[in-house]
Order: sequence, then C-alpha cells, then structure tokens
Amino acid sequence: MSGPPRPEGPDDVLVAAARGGDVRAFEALLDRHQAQVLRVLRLMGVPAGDREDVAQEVFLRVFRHLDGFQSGRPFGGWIYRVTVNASYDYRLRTGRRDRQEAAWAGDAALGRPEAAPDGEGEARHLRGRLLAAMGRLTDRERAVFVLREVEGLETLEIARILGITRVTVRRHLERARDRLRGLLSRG
Amino acid sequence: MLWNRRNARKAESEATLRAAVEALKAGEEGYEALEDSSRARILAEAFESAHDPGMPASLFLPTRRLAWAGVIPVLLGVAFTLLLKHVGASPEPVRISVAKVEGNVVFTVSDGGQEHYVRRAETPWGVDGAEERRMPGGTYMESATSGPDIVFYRFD
Repeated sequence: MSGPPRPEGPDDVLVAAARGGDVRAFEALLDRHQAQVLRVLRLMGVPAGDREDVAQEVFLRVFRHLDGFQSGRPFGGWIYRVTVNASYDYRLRTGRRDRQEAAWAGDAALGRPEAAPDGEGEARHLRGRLLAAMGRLTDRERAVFVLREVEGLETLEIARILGITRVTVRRHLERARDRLRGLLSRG
Repeated sequence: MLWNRRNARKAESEATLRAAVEALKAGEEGYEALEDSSRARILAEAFESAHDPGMPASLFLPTRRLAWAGVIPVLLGVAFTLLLKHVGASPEPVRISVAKVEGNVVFTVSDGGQEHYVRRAETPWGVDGAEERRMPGGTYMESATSGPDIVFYRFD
C-alpha cells in the first residue's frame, strides 16, 4: 500500500496535523485511542452489536470538531467526553430498557454462581455481577464510576470531562458506590 | 454490637466491590480494536471532509441507507467512494453506473466513447498510487463476493 509515512509524536502534534487535513495523523490518533473508546462504550452499556457504529460516531465527531479542541488540554480527556456523550445519545435513541436488556444479557450468564468453580470463574462471576449492577445506575453515576474506578482518572479531570463540579463528581461517585455495594451484597 | 455488625457488613460489601472492580479491570486489559470496515468508513469520511470541507458530513450514511433499501444490493453492508477525475473536455456528460451481474460488480462509465482507466485501493490515499487498468468499452468488472469490504475507486 503506497502513501505518505504515518506521522508520530504526542497527541498535540497529531491533532495539529489532522487539523491541517492530514488524514494519516488522524489515523494515528484513531489507532492510539480506539481501545479506550470501545472499552468505555462497553462499560457505559453500549451492546456489542452497536458498539462499532457508536465508535464510528465518536471518531467522526472528534474529526469534525477538531477545530474546537483546546490545545494544551489532554486529547484523551476530550475523547472521553465525546465517548461518554455518544453513549448518552445512544441511550436516548434506543431507550434505556431495551439497551439494558441487550447489553447485559451476556453478562448475566457470566455472573451465574455455578459458573464460578475456581479463581478465574470467581473473577468472571464478580465481573458479571458488577456489570449487571452498573446497569442500574443513572447515566451520570455510571460515567463517574467508570472514569474514576476503572479508568483511574482524577476528580478534577472527570469534572472537566463531564462538565460538572468536583463536588458533584464526588457526590455521584459516593452514590454509585453505595448502590453498587448494596446490589453486590444482595447476591 | 449493632454498630459493629453494621460496620462489619459495610466492610464486607466494600471488599466485594473492590474485588469486583479489580476483576472488571483485569477483564478489560485485552486490546480491543475497531473492525477493518469501521476503520475504513471513519477514514473515508475523514478523507472526504479533509478534501472538501463544504461536503455534507454524511457521505457514507446515505450510501448505506440506499444499500439497506436494496437499491444497491450487491453493496449491502459495504461502503465505497467513487473518486471521479475526468481528464479533458467531453461532449457528453459523464455518467457512472454500478450493477450486479452474476456475482460481479460492473462499473460503467459512459460519456460518448472516451477511453477510461480505473485505479482501486483499500484506503483513500492508496488510490492515486495504485495500478491503472484500462476499461475496455468504459466497463470494469470484479467479483462482488470476494475481496475486502471497502474498496476505493478512481476513474479517469
């Protein structure tokens, strides 16, 4: 396959090149962040059958709005923001109930106690139960929980990504953890 | 005693949540990537936007809708972009038609008998450097059932 060499470097450099119309730079950004996008979409409850389409939406939104990206801010944080918003939009389009049923049907099977005879089985069992419990959180609680507990972001970063205050982040996180503790302890 | 039991229960549920989060994180460690077809669609649209900012952003979507509607059955689930660069003046308007004929996709460029060439590649930027093939009678044909999902063509 012919073509110019793929540009490399930090996200800022690639974003600047992509803004100038360099599709190879955008391709490098896509390759760098695709796992993050797919992972967050899955954790936000977008089922496997629709995840590729929603991920496409995410990257197309990112590309179309590159001019609006503020230099100096972490590009990864911006990707998180677009991804979480795309998952909200997906939920609005499909309806919460339908989406939950589709998203967690497979995970519920993973969470059956009889599927947990050993250490690995126990981990899968716990994972399945947590995923199912996350399906009971509100969008905001779930986003905060995913970004803090799974993605490991700081409170300030989450506040910027979600456009809320740090106090609100902490409140949502506390509520999410309370609800998850309660749901997990019932099993 | 009640206070202690409550605290013990809370500690236990916290430990369960911690273990579940760790299990979730461990389960998310595998590398996940977009399918080739999704990747190609994103890059195709980015390419189009980059080269024609005035173009509607939904280049791919109408094509897919048409395909879903059965207008282009052979391209069901497949997106493709035709890049037409016609060299020289033509006395008749250039028309490109696509049809499925016995398991093949047939492209026909009709503009009054001019000679035409086609280049094909799996990425938009690969088209210009791809091998040029003559189109006898303005026609180019290839299998509809094999090969990559997304192909980009340029007709000259």
